[in-house]
Amino acid sequence: MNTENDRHFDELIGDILEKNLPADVDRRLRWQLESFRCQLIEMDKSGVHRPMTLGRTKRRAVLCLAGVAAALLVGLAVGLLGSAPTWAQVVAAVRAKPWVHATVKTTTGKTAEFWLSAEREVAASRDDDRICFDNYPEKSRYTYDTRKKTLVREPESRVDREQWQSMLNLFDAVFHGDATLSNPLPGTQLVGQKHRTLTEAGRSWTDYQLDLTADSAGVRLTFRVDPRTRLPKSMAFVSTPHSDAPKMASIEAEFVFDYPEQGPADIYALGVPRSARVDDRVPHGELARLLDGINNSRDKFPQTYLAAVSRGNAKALPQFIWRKGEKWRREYRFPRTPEDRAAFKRLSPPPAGPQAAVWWKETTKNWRAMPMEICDGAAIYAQVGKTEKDEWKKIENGASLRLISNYLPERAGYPLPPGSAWSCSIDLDMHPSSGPPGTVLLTSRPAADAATHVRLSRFWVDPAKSFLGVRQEYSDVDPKAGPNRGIDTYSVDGIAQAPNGVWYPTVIHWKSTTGTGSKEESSEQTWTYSIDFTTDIPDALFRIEGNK
Amino acid sequence: MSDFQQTYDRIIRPIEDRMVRSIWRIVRNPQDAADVMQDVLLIILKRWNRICGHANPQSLVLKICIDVAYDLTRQTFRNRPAALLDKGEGEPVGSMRTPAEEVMAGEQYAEIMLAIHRLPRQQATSILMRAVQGQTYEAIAAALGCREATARKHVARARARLRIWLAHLNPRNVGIGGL
Repeated sequence: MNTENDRHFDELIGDILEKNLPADVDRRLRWQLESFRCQLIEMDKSGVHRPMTLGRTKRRAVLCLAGVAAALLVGLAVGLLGSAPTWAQVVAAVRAKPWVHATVKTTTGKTAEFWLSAEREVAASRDDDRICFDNYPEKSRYTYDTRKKTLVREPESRVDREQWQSMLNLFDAVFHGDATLSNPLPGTQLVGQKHRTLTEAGRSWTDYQLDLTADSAGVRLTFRVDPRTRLPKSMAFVSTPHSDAPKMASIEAEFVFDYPEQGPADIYALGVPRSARVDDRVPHGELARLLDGINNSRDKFPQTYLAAVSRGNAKALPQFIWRKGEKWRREYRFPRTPEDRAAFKRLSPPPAGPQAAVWWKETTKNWRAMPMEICDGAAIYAQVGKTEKDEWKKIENGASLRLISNYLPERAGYPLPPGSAWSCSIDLDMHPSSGPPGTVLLTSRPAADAATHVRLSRFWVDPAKSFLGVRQEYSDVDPKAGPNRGIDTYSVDGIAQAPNGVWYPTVIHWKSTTGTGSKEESSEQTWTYSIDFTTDIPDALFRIEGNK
Repeated sequence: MSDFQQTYDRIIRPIEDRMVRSIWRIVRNPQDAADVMQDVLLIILKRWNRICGHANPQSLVLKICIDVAYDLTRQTFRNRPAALLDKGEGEPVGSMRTPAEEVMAGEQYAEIMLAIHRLPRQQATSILMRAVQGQTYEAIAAALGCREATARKHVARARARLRIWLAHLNPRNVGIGGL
């Protein structure tokens, strides 16, 4: 009887919580999932994240060396001195070599090798599945799938560029004698280090051991350095899961370094047949110019401002986005007292345009501010307080904008068109038959090897307005291929200019439609962005206090 | 196919529908649902290794959905309780419910969520995983990292409390403790 009653009770709870899932919400969340999947694929290609796993050995070269360099810097910062060579001397010795080559073997039997030349800004890697060659000055990457026998040339991704730059910065820091490094190895913390000198088979070595901890595992890196040449000979990597990470296996790998005078000049030098047809996905000509224009405007947009971002009607409480370079803060403000709440109900709509940010800031200055996330430039923290008192938890190292990208006007106005990472092809129509006047049309179509849920995207860009995207459309299928299942449209209905002349959207109208005729369902929402570029933004706004 | 892609297709793809629906059932607001999904994906990314190596990765991912959605509604209830009774932005045009039914459904939803928020965290998570996601006790235990008997106890205690607090909502009400 109890079981029966339990079931009915669970059903009661379930029934009350049941609510029809609107088609647009369903699509939107699935789109987020698909974007996430594409992001994973991109990360897999570029080798970011999962630094503690060696199961995937593809193109770990840059990351590995960045890790090595980071470790070297950490050692330098705390001064591991003595009769053994200093870390700085080791780094200098590595840097002096034209090429670094490493072979990697894990306990699971996977092997890979990589080459890296800081001088030429080239990195390459090879394993059973894939051969990669990154040419950073050319901003391109070649990838050869050894099973499908396909060779793809893709534009360099921003992730790759940042990663490469990060590694160069590490080296530069060494040569400039920087004593500290703000973020030596993303996702890990140094918890201990030591070094020792030992003799093995009549040869003398210096072992430098670094203990790091990551989210789910502890990692020990042990570099074996030849004190005579000051060059690392090997690095042992041992990852041990924390006790609360159930059923994760330990991972061990051995990196063996050598320093050849010559390295691969191109991907063909790594064994790719010259007869392989190149699927060139790097934009050329007008398309490249347009994409550069969009990227430049996004990058040039001022990085210090207060934005009030509302979704819904004009009186909807906005979210406040405070941005100052790499630091940012997202907060809500709520009426604190009954008087404030009553006043809120009587509020007239804010003035239209950029003045609304100042109006909201002044109107709500005595309300309760509730920051949701803060990035202090070194890490991102999320609010976890259960009471009015703020409590913070670090959720990510680094200064990424990803978490608030949906609220940033520069991201709304200058979106990243799906590129090669999404297995899309992009076409440019300089004289489109549809869309706002004076615009050109970028159409991104899923390539043959794209994931099944990649959508057709159309971007109308206004070259005369600093390449602002004035209309975006995402549809489930190519109209040429069959009936649409759903279209999301973002129309920019108001624009303004930042002090440096870059345009940005102030009003975006979002409409989502599914079905046709009597079965059509639609949802609409208006997003407003009002920005104050002159407001004083004290650093205290980005300071984390209380429990991290 | 890449490792990430294979893992995604193995672990997450089969439960995409359950992820979407369980988030929606708890937060009921299009923008909040999108925010929750974004946070869920961020957590999945951060804990990728742990999820891949977990005994029941799918229930762990579903628990993350519950946790994030629960946290958001808890904050929302605390800070803007009136918002909970809103129908929510983006309600499909042509909804079959009358305005009165909408209000009533909103009130019942708010009552249930407020009651669940009063529960200890483990109990709240357990009852949501059971009632909203229909998870087995074994899966709940795996996600919580406890024994199955403990998971059963969490759910039973949550039910016992909710029965008292929500007795008036139950048309089959046969008395406190007898449900």
